[in-house]
Amino acid sequence: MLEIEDLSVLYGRGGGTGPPAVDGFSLSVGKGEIVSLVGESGSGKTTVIRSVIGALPRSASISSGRILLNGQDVSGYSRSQWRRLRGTDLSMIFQDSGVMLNPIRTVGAQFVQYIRLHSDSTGSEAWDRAVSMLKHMRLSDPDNVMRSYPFELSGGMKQRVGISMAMTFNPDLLLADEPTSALDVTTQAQIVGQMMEMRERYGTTIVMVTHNIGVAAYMSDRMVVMKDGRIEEQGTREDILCRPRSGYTRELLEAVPEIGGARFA
Amino acid sequence: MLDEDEIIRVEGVSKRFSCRGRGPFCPRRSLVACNDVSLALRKGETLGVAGESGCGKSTLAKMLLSMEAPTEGRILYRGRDLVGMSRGDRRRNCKNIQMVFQDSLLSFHPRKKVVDIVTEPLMNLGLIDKRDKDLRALELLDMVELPVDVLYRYPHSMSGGQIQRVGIARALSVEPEVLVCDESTSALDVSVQRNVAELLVRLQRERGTTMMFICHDVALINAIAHRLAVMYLGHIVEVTPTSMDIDKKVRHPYTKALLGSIFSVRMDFSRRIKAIESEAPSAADVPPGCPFQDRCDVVMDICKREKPTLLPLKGEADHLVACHLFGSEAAI
Repeated sequence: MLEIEDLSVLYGRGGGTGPPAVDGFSLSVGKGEIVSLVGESGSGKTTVIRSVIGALPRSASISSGRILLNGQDVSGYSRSQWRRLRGTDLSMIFQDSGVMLNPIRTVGAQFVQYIRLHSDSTGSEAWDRAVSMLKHMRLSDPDNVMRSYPFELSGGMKQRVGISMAMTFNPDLLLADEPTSALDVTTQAQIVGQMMEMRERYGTTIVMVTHNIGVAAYMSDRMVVMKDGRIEEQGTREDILCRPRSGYTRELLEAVPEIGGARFA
Repeated sequence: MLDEDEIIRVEGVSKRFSCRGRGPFCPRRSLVACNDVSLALRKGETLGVAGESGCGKSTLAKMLLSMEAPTEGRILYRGRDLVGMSRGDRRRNCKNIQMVFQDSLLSFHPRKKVVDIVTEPLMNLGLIDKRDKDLRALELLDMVELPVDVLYRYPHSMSGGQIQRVGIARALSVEPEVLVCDESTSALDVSVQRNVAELLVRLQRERGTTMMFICHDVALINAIAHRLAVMYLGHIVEVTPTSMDIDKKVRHPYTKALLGSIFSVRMDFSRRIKAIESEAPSAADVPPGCPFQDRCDVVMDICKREKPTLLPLKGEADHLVACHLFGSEAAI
């Protein structure tokens, strides 16, 4: 499904001078799998998934490696090639979907535009489709949500709108960049539950970036631990959690506060 | 009622903000950020305050710091009411209660160097002479385990963990009796978060500081605090001592839900995570009766009529719950 071979990404003009943000990253993700990239800030996890959807900032460039999506090398795609791919074949959920939405247009207007951009449908068809997607995400009163402006919705609702949009065309690959990090714990639990349901219903492949190791552990089949742009360790969830080989992974797991874990008070 | 050990006593404190209604001609509404909150902080203890965004945790912290005045109620520091204090007294009282912010960087003057930042409270209160500034700053940096060479650096060139340490050094520079930490470790990576939390606990123990640790992560509170207070929509719903098996000891349905929503690396992954399905109502329209009634799965008739009061459980004087399930006669 997704193959990343020896990917390196540099920041800065003319190839950059500093060390690469991502250095020799290889990963292979099978259909229907959930893989999460965990690590601390600056470890390059976001850069990896941004390369996969072709949304690296202008100052960054892929210096080596290939990204294969269903066997197609996408690393050199042009803007129009990307546009055909995004939304339908692969889509992305951001940490704060509220920022992705235009603040002065209603959710409905943007959702309808998004659907019509990627499919051949009339306005009212698109509206109905959007409402049914919101219903799937168990948003109460979806018609009201459609007529609301982003600032009128709570963080959890905006995140649900973001996920609904990302899932509209039932993409093969869903990328999620810290999808629950900005949310309260009870809302986080709801969103995690709904993403798992999406996978069960549509068999979507999910590649997720998170610093919340608990969420990563709960959702993923496999986990990749990153540090300073490199893969520190990767393996099945059980390998990483129960039999970590790298000292860094062990440190990271121990630092997570737990009920019933170490207490200093 | 005067307990020697009690440093801070919050008595029936409410804070209402007035806000615009939904439409241009709608009457103004009032948003109750804190509703009849009563708490006590004992000498040398850490009280953790947990709750979701908008539950009033930060408003409570600001009122302790006299940055907001409560609409109702009293806040006593060693028996003296902080509400209605004169400006001069309030300024002098700064020495006793200090705060560490979530993003300390925003609370620093961007053109000041670390040496000036950490000694600013001392200079403002006239506690040290200008000549002693460098020496005092070095002591403070040593206390928070920062290297000497950050002394003349600007905070924006430092890492998140270092910045928080500077924030802690600044707050502790005047040797306050009470330290309020409002999400002070929330923006940090887990390993850094752990180091900063350990530092806070060590300093608190060495100095006998009384600490209020506000955090949305109940697991972290359980690791570093002596008692946990849970807030929901401006109300304190449960106060309980922390323990290894706190998840089995808590009684309020909301606290249970909060603890049940934690993803842990040691959990049983085959277990489905239990999530409360609905969202919290806005603090501007809290229903009459129990604030948690709409999301509670054991809601009763009485919950819609009467607001439960925070009462100790029978046999557990330290464990307070505001829930009709545990009304005085029904206490187990």
